[in-house]
Amino acid sequence: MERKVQTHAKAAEIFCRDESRVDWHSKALWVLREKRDRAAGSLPEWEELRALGSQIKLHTLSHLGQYLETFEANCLKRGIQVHWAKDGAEHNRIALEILRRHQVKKLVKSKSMLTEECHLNPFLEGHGIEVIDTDLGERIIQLNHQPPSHIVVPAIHMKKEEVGELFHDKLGTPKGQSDPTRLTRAARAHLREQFLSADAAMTGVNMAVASEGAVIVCTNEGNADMGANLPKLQLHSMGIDKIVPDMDSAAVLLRMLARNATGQPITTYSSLYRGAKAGGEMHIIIVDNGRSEMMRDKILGEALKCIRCGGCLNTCPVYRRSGGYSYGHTIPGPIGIAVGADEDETHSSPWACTLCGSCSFVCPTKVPLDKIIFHRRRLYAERGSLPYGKGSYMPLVGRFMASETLLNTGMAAARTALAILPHSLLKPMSGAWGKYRELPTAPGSSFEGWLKKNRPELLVKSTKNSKGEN
Amino acid sequence: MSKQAILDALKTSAMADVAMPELKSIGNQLSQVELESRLETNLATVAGKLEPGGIEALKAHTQSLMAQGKVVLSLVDGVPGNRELTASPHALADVDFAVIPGELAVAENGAVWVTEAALSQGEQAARIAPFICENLLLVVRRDAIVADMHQAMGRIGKLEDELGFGVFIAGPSKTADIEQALVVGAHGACSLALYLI
Ligand code: SF4
Repeated sequence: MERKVQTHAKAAEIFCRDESRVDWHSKALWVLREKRDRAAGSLPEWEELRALGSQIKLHTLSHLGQYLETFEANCLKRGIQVHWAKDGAEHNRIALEILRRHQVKKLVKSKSMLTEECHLNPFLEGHGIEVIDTDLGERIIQLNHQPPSHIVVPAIHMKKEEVGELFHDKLGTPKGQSDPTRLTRAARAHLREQFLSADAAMTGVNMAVASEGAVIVCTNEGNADMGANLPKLQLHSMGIDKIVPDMDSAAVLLRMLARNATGQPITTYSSLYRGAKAGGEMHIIIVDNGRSEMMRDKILGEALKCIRCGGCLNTCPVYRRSGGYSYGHTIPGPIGIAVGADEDETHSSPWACTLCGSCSFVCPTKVPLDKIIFHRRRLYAERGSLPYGKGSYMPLVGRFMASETLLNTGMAAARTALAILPHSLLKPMSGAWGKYRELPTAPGSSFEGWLKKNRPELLVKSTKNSKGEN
Repeated sequence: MSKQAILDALKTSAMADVAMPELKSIGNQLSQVELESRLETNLATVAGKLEPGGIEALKAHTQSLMAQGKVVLSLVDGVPGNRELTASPHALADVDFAVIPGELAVAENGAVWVTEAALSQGEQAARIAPFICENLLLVVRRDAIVADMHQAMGRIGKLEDELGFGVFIAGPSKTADIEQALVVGAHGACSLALYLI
């Protein structure tokens, strides 16, 4: 599916037209948030773990070159072949070259946001390699020709009836069947065949352990392991930010990852690959693709502490009510804005945020998401590239947004400012979503309905923007 | 080439130098009774089951499975099976039950650490064994239960030289990708039982 170039506000407005669906979407994510709260609350040392997780990641990032070299050296000792790619295109070329050398016709993949970021699937398909996504959610959206709408539960936007319809079409399940268990069984049978006939497997990486030359891959379904352990050839793609120093560090992050994602104490499988199977070959592709550039800015660089648990999406009032496709980048939600805002041609995604700070509060590695998002707004303001429709406020707010003092006193100051400064001055900073600050819960009132009643001027503006006016 | 470019780019990083935190003191010490009861509870939350009766119960169970015509692959000494590992991992697709030894079990999450060494039989080895079987029967020594992941990593320590693959397995495979409804049995085993010996 081609992503349309439109501002977040416009895309969200379209999503919000179906009010009951928005409520359903929001509720599904809130269930995850509640499960997360229970899991986190059951560990008295939770806050201690978060502090450690944050420190481990900051330490690793501040010595990243060193750790990457240690990691590579230890991999080479284990006979693992290591490749380096500065961007997505190089990653894809490397993958293709390895697959071609082995005459691979069918590749089974397990979930990897990195390969989404690199647009690997269409590239390989263009070169005649069949790519099968094997995570159930990923397979659903692959069959539906959509990108993931969430980083952990990629088909969260689809109702079971829609999945049933799709499976009837593509997998031949009985018409009208929408029972999740039956649909899952059908997918299991279908994907079993794919696993058994694949020539190679590729997985993402949750953690790369420098001291051991090993990668850790976490799934609940077992698809990464069903993939990697059958064919002779296995590939693992990782961003440079996936490095952890040692197994003890991995323990800290593994204790939080699944708890924060879905409320489970750990994913079903946490697999450690540290060399090829007998007679096989193992490759690791280490990808930069803009990460080292982000680290030149110490605020943006903190986004690389992320372990992709999805917790910040589940809690985000904007994500829950605007859906994963309203952002102009691969990764939606708060972390998506933090790492992917540059992909958004409309420059609007940093405004898809109320600055409520809930994301930073739930993040297991303390990524300061609201601070980063605010910083992104400021960067656009400084460059004079505010999103469509927001430019007209520039003369008023330019100095304000570029104010070091305000930013240095942190988000607390920004939040106070939101409360006391005149609205016209703040509009470009708070965005349409500022309304959640004024109306934290809106029972019985949809966003659109509320907007119509209270801020009709915004509705007009976003409709106009959709026609591409700048 | 790109390696050098990436390493060079990282030299211009603005990230402040942060020391590695001390990780040894975190975690809990639990008595054997607590270890076993938490393991049982948490294994249940990940949809697994702690089976009573130890090795004798397991032997009786596999005997009866075989009597029912099930394909049983046993990689645990002394527990009978009717299937051997072969050179092709794909051939294991017919295994109904795999009996596999775990090195340790983690009380806080029900996970069992299984290594490559345990996934072999004579000359043959198959990393796929715990994933491709329909049902998984794991065996762990009672004195190999640890409280949490910190202790687990402490025991595993620096990985042994020959270890090329290891996995923490917490319950049967599962998914909630269709409308958040939990379905046990995604791509890996559809059930998991743990026997303590
Ligand atoms: S930023 Fe934090 S909460 Fe969001 S996905 Fe990453 S680790 Fe999870």
